[in-house]
Amino acid sequence: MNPAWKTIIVGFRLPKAVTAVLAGMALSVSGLQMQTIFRNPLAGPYVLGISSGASLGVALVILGFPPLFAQGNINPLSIWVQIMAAWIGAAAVLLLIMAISFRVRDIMTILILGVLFGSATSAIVSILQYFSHQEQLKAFVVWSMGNLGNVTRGQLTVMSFTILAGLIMAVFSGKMLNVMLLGESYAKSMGLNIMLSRIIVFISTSILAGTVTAFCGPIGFIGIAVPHITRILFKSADHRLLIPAVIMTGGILLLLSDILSQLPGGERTLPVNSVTALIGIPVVIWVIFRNQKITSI
Amino acid sequence: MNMPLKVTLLLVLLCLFFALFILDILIGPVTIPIKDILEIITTGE
Repeated sequence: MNPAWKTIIVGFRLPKAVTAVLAGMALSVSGLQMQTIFRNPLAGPYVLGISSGASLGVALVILGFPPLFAQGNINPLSIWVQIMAAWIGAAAVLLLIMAISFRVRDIMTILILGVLFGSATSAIVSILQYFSHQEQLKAFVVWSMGNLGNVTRGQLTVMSFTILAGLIMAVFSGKMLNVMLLGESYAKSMGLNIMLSRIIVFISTSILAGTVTAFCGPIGFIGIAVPHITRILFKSADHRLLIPAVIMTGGILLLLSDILSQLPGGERTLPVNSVTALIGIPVVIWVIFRNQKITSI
Repeated sequence: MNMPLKVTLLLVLLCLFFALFILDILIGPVTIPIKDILEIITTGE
């Protein structure tokens, strides 16, 4: 093989494709877990503000500690700080949402609160951006656009292991999610430890959504759309089947989004976020109309 | 939907997954990560 082509494929395109697969899988499973635990078809890491929490964590370290990110994040310590900040941010928002869900039973209220948390974190990020230096501001804006091509091979190794851990936890939570789908009272009567199940799902979701947001930036709508597409395809609500199917479909959808974002035949690439939104939004609209039809019946 | 159909669907998805994975590697412009560019500038390699 031509050495130039080898560099292009092995050095750049292969890590990018693997990143797309991992991010698609992680976000989709995270969305499925959130939809089941909240019993809300519109729930997902993006809608409930988990990604916004991760963004806030990253914004705090990039914009709040300029010396650490002065050389464009090539310091290994800065990468780890960024990942930890995204995880902590994601976990904090998720725990906040869950604490509220213990008091507020109405799922639409929880959803609205999630959106409000997202807006609140965006407001804090805006304040941080206003007071930050030009170099840090640019680094954060580039990160927030969502890019699958920014992940280096070294980072990809860390990302693979953490996402694999999150996916393993999700696969083992399949049976619990099946029981929780029928409601908390039924789950309790079946002998399920609700708190423990929730903690396992929180950790899994925080690892998955937080890791993807830390490495690739916030990628929207995959987490909401993919579980619905998979349910339509397989006509099943069994998580033992849905989780592997969602993993597969998530990888496929983000690969497809990445291919479309590269504008085949062109020399420029679109932000992957815009493509996932164009694919995901029609699915969300369809879910809203479908729910409306069920309610009117 | 019966089990053989679900398994077939999973296999179809698996094939689609690999097809798209190869397509994603083969097409599109070369996108060099910003970090790599910075590393080249910093180290000169």
